[in-house]
Formats: sequence, structure tokens, C-alpha cells
Amino acid sequence: MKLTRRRFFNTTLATYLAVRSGRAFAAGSGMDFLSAREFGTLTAFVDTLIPADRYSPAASALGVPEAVVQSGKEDSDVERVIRAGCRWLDRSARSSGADGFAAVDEPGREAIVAAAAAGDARPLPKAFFRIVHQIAMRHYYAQTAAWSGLGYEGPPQPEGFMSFDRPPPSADR
Amino acid sequence: MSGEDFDVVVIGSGPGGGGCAWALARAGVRVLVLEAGPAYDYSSDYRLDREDWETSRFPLKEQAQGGYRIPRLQPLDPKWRSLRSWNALHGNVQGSAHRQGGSYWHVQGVGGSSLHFTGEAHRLHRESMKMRSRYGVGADWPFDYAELEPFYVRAERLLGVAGSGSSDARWRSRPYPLPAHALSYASRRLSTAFERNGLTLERNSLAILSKPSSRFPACNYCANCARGCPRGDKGTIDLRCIDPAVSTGRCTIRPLSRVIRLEPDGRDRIASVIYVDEKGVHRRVRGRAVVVACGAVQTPRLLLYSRGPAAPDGVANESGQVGRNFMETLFTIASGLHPEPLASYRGVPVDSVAWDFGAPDAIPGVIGGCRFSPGAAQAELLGPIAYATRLIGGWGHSHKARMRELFGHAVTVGAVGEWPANARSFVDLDPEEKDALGVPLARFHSHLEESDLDRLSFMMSKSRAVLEDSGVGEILEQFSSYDSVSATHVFGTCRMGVDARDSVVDGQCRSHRWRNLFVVDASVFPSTGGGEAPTLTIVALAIRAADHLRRLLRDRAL
Repeated sequence: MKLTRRRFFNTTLATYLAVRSGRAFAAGSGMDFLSAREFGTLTAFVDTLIPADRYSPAASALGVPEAVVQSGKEDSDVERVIRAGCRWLDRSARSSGADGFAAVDEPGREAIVAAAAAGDARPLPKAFFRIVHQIAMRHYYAQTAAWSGLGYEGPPQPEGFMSFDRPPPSADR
Repeated sequence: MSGEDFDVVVIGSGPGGGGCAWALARAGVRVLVLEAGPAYDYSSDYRLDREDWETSRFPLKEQAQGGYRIPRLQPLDPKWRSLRSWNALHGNVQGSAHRQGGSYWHVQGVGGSSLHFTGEAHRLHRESMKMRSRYGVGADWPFDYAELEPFYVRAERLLGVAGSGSSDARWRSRPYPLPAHALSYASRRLSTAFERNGLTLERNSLAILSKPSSRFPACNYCANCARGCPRGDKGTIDLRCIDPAVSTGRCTIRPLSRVIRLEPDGRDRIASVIYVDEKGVHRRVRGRAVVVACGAVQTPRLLLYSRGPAAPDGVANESGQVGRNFMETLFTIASGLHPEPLASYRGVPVDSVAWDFGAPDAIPGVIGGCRFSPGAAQAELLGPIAYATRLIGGWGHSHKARMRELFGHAVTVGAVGEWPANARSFVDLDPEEKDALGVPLARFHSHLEESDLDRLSFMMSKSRAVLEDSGVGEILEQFSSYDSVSATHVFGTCRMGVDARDSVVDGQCRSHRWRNLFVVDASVFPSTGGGEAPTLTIVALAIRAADHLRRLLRDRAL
């Protein structure tokens, strides 16, 4: 049994949509279902999930916002969650007096993201968090720029791991 | 539709079809191999050199999977809920009250499922071949281990098996062709925990080169056999059997050529084979003999669909056993994070195995054995994405810090066990769903009996105990057959036997009724063994059946 990406999405979406089934959403526009402002919100969100540090860049430097949008283009249910989630982030920020999520400082953004992750008995923020988190981590860690500090000697080929029977080399972690 | 003539038509190019084609072609027999799936180029199709290598599994090209469906399965008994598949971050893998049809992991292509296998090359425990007469369950093989042993020797040489040691249960007349692979650092660090739980790790016997051959390099220990080997150091059937067979000048391989029917004549022979070529054209081909080697799901599908006036219940189904006795993969996997850095993504995927409970009577209170192995590859915990999405929760700066702290610490204990045949596990033709050619899908009924759940419980308990003894603080993920089908090894649907009333083929893999029809794949297995991977046994059977077939051709007995 494998925890496939499709199984994860299906479970998360099913939970969210089962609660929201009575609401109608506007159909996605297809190519650009986020406004420029919403894309900025999404970017700030993924950069809070995966911020830059001295080892590796932030998520947006590695194309994560674009990857999230692409997932939305491929699945209309995911698109709806992404759009609704970005709007929720901005509403949450405005309720604290900020102009939008992207305008909040890092501690403030972290507090809003923590609320989304916790769910607080409302399905949308948690579904949005889970779906974007999954896409972000898959896309980010599929790039060598993200591997700095892990001590990872990959990709697996063409060199292989000929030191497999010895302790791992010490890494600057 | 014109016909072509060959000595032998082989349907399927996995371990059974490939092994057969190789042995026949070398012996001067003209062979046509019809393979429903595509060919793979090992030097360019497996992209483990890409930075996004982890985002996909084995690259399934078009037509690289046979058509099947898994219907609704049995309700889950809550008393076994400790066997539920779950992940600490995401909860239960499936939330249904029924066992769910996950996947039948296979490759339809030149080389078959050997293209994605982890190279394990096991001989059967000799006692596993006598399940009925010694233990009162299942069925006996119609011959004993001693009969098969010389063919194991030939199969090991053909595939290039690396191993060491011998045991009474799997005694050897020749040493392994290649020296065994070393254990990874991670496996060595776990060996003490295995021993404390009564499990002795032995180096696994693997069809993976431990020394370079004349054509291929030795393994470089990337742990990703399941994604396809881009070096040719893994003993896949395309490279070890099909290519050498073709180079004799007596073997023709046709990929993307799907056989849809066998055509019997009125004299208990298969007169011809109908297949659809890669352009979609229906073609007929004839052989003095026909070997069906499509695996335990697609072989019964073909035989049942070939029903007609001469074979109203399907070809070779006079006993009613085609599709019955279906056995699949009984497994458990448990994983956690070890306190020490191990770089556990390195090595061969399954470098060692504990056979202490491999005998049919080894598990207390349960008939049917099992085996245990370390190796994060069993749970596909080999790269940064797996850690970030399955093992290390959270986000932000703390998540990145934990990734740096814990990457490479994953440890997994996997167990595979015996699956005795039962009446509720079988393969039949789907009455509703058909594929694009109008052929009903194979319907894959899989049922666990109470004794299977007892065996699973033993496997999971011991696996968890090993992990906890190794220093893993918390089990972070477990999977088992209890709530999901995740079948890699499938068997039994055309079983061998002496009595034509309850078996499909005889001890030489020949149909009891259809004189020129052979089945050479794991369909013929009367038992699965206590967790042994079947590839080596299939190849040994294939070489043995080919030798017999060659004699029949020589003696004009077909």
C-alpha cells in the first residue's frame, strides 16, 4: 500500500467538499484563476511554509507558487480550494488591520498559517493548508537547491552511493 | 488474416516467457515472443539522474499495464485494527470499513515485472512444496525440491545471482555465481535489534551484479531498483533472457502485440493464437506449441476468454481451476526514524533477510511462514520528498531544521508471508467492464482468512518490536495487507498438479488436456512459500519446462 499523492488529495478534498457541498463556486477561469494580488498572497503563504535560511532559498525562489497554480489548473476542486484559501488568508490578515496576508510580518503570517494548519473546526483553511503544503514540499524538495544542509549525496545516479556500507559523511547541518 | 508458423509461440516476456524463450532458442527452437507491453531501453528510460527523480515511480509507458479491476472486498474486523495502514502525519491511509483494492503493482512490457523488481532471487523452502501432505493446507507441488534444484543452479547463472551460504531447507549443489553484496551501514546498525527478537539477518540472494560482467557494470548501490535500473546491473529478463535469445537468430520478439485469444482445434491442440499488433491489426500465428506466460492475473484472463465450443469453460479449464487458488502478497511494513544518522537511502533495496520463521510450521499456532528484512526502500523512504511529506511534520524554519537533522534516519522493517489458497480468492472475467479491445477485465478477488490475519499480526508485532529495540522512538508509518491490496507477487491461478480434476497443468507445466499448451509463470505455483520472491523459481520452472518441450519437439510428440 503506498501513500500516493492522488490518495492524499482525494481524502483531503473529499473531507472538505463533503462539508461544502451545498455551496456553489464560480467556475475557474482555467489559465489564470488567481488575480495578481491573490498570487502575491499565495507566494507569501508558501514562503511562510518554506522560508529562506542560510542553507536554502524560500519556496518562491524554486517555483513553488507556480507549481501550486499548475495543480489548480489540472483539478478544478483543487483550484477552488486554492482561490478560497487565498481569500481566507487575506481576510484573516485584514481582521488584524493589515492590507492583506502578504503585508503581514513573518510572526504574523506564521500565526495565521498555524491557525490554518490547526483547522479550528473550519474545513477550508485546513484543506487549503494541507493541499498547498503537500504540493509545496513535493515541488521544493524535487530540486537540488533545496538539498543543501541535508547531507544528501543524490540524485541516485549516475554516481550511486558507493559508500553505502560506511557511516554517512558528516554534513554541515 | 494470414498466419505465420513458428516452432513455439510464447505469450509474455517476463520471467516465465523470457526464461522459456531463452532456453528454447539456445537449443535451436524457433520462437516467437508476443509481448502485450512496450520495450524499455534501460540506458535512457530510467531517469534516476534527474533532480526530480523522486516525483515518479517506474515509468509506465502506454500499454505497460494489463487490464484488471479489484471489486469490493471483505469488511474489516475491528479486532485486527492494530494492523491498520496509517501514517502519523496523515492518519489512516484509507478510512473505509472494507478492505480496499489498492493496486496490483506490475509491469507489462519486455522483461515483465522484472523491470521494477528489487532483484530478490530466492529458492523455495523445500517444506513449502509439501503444504498438503505435511501440513494439511493448500496443495503439494507435483515434484520435490531435489527435482527443481539443478534448474535453480541454471537460473542463478542466467540471472547473475549474488549470494552466500546455504541451508538445509534450500540446499545447494553449486555455490552462487557471484559473491554476496555487503550489508548497508543502516542494516548493520539494525542487526542487533533483529537478533534480540530472534531474527538472524543473512545476506540476501540477489539478481544484482556484485562484480562487473562482460557487458554490464556492478551495482552502484542507489537503492532504486524499483524505478528501473539504468545500468543493466540488475538481472532483468529483457537483458538476461530476451536479448540473448534474439541474438541466437532463432527468437523474434514483438512488443505491443497483445494476444486476445487462443484458438483450439478439434484434436485437443491449440491451433493458433490471435493477437493485435501495434498498429491495431488482428493477426494469427501458429506454433507447434504455445506457452502462456502472462502472470497469475492475465494468464487466466486469456484462458477464460478463449472459451468456445471446444472449451466452453475456457481453454485448459476442464477442472474448473483456472482463476481459482489465487494467492497474492501478504505483507507488513513499519517505519520510524532512528536516533543516529544512517544515510539509509543507500545500498541495494533489500540487502538482508531473516528466514528464521520461513518454514511452514515456524510461526507458533499458524501454518505458513514469513520472512523479515530491513530497508527503507521497502517503504520508498529514499529521498527528501518522502521525508518532507510523510515523516517530518510541520512547516517553516523548524521543519527545515528537522529535515536537516533527520534526513537519512528512516528505518523500515518489512515482512512477507505465506498466502495459502482459499475459496474466496480467485480471478475471473469482469461481467461488466471491458477494455478498449472489448475483452473483459480480469477481476481480482482477494480474501484474507483468519489464519492469514494471525500471520499478519505476528509479522507486524515482530517488525514493530525490532524497530523499537533499535532505538526508534515512535513508529511513524505502517502498511499491511489487512486493509489494502498492494500486490506485487501473484500466484496460483493455473496450478500444477498430478490430478487433472483439481489442477490445470501437470508437473511439466503442460495442460492436462491441450497437448501443445504450456503455462509457465507463477500461475502454476501450488503454494507461495513463506515470503520468498518468486522470480527465480519462475525462471527455474521455465528452463525445466523448455527442456521438456524441446524433447517433445525433437521426438515429434507435439
